[in-house]
Amino acid sequence: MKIISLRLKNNFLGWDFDEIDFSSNLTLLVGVSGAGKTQILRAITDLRRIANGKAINGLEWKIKFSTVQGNEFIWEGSFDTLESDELTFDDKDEKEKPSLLHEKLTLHNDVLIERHQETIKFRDQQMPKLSSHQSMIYILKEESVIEQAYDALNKIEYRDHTRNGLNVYKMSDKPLHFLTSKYKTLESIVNSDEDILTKLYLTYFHELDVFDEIRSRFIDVFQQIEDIKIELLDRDDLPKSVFIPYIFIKENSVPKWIREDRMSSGMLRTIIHISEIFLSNQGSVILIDEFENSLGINCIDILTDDLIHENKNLQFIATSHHPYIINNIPYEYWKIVTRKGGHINIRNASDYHLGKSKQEAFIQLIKILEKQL
Amino acid sequence: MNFYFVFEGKTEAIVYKKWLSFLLPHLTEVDSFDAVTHNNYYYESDMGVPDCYRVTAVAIQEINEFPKYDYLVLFTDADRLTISEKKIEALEQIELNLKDKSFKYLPKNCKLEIIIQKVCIETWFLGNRNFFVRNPQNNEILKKYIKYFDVSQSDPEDLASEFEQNEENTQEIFGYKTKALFHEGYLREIFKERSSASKTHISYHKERPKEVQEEFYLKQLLVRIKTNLDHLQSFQEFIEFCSKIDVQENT
Repeated sequence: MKIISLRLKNNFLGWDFDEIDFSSNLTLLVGVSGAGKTQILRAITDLRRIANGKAINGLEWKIKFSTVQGNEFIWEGSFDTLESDELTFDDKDEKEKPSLLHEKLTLHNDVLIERHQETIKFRDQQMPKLSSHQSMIYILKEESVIEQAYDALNKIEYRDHTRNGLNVYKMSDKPLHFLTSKYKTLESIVNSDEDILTKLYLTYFHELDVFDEIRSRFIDVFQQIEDIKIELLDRDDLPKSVFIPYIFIKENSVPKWIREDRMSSGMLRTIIHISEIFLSNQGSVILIDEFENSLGINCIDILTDDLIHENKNLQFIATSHHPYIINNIPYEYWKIVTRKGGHINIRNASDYHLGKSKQEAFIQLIKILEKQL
Repeated sequence: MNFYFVFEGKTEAIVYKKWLSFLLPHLTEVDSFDAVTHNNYYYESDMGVPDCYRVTAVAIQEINEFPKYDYLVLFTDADRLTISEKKIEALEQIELNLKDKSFKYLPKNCKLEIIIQKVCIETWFLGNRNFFVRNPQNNEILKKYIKYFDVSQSDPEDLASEFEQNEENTQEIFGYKTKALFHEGYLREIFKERSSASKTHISYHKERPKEVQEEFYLKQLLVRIKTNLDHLQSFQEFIEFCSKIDVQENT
């Protein structure tokens, strides 16, 4: 999937932004703290949740995206706004959830789905009464044409590096022996829906070349490392028979292997990031909040380069406050995020006439951001 | 003769230092700007934070305080500009950065040289014909690049020369928004292909250049400009500068 453009409004939380275009496979959102960068990433993740049947209070959206098959969809819709303390309504009683006021899905110029409250049409055919809280993409996901949009939206992945973000990589209690026999080739592993650590384990288990590549790339970044391995361990908080993969690294002059919970968070993030580049589903949209977190000067540069270069089959939308990252991703990739009340402005560097020379772009950016304060 | 080098970027600091040890082996590095005596060089780099004009302006202050330098040399990328445009920009920007400084000029015995890599230093690295892979086996991306522009046959400096970014920054070339990044991307793919063909891991990272700084690599670039007299003109200017120094040293 590739997000081409996006417009969002949240009537419950009281914010909105104009249409942004994501023409590139890399977009760097820059702005002061509180401008709304994270809000944008979360809202994109909300679209994935809607496609999976969830209701988001007061959200209005319009997204244009293309699929790996090369089809271009426009999906728009809105939920009504309930006065409540909650934004999402996962486990609520059906009646208490916000309803869809309208929804429309277009493929190229064909309207596939059109819904106005209770009236729903699929390819011009009137549909029987269906759940008013769930997107038609979710309800009709078995239809091949809808499935494509459903699959695409499920390729949105959110990486939160702001607080204990790494824990999200820890998978729960899947029987790994089942997965090792289900996924044996690189292609099947890449195309699976497993999380990145499980995928990495599978490549290690099957001794695939790609694991060696990931290891070499990791050693490129941290030259004191001589090896990586992945072992299955049990964990106190899980049932006895459940094992989960743990990454271990071996440093040149340190005799013992170092387990992931004892290695630096920057190292662990680097392994995960490199694995994502090699093992993510083609067409994944990877949203990265605060790319710089836990990355030291010894790895931030190489990982920034990877964002720029290794995105041929992926789309990265990242936020950053780090001068090194902002400086090293040319301003052509920036979107400058500012906010006035509930309205989030997202503009190209060129809208501010930024970067007549490379030397000035960052300084000009700081000036623009200073003015917002 | 003593030299004060200013490198834009991390790659340049690593590669030029090594290349200079082959091209001008009589020069030795000193760790402090006021430590040069005879045939020494001192260097500063903006370390990847685009700031080389400010660094150059500060270098001018240091050279005035310790006037034992014969040359101040700034190494920078042309990026989207031509060599002459870039030189004009550099001179203007250095002057601007000198505004609030005590010394506005270099001492009389010290000359400013600006060495420009067109489009970027990776453009030069693309010139190694021996390292190039003519028929990539595994790499579809590299196949596309070669089909579009074969850097082993045509001058790497002309790679994507027609590409111009528009006002809205929406133009892309093979997914890149700048020409320099595409040049770097092309080089990365050549390294990837060599890596998978030889089954030994090699890769190109701007911040950790390895093979490209070695003598065998530099020699191949020298072969390239001998074979194709009109290729890599900006690299030729650098080599001419080194020869000029060599002649001055020996006369």
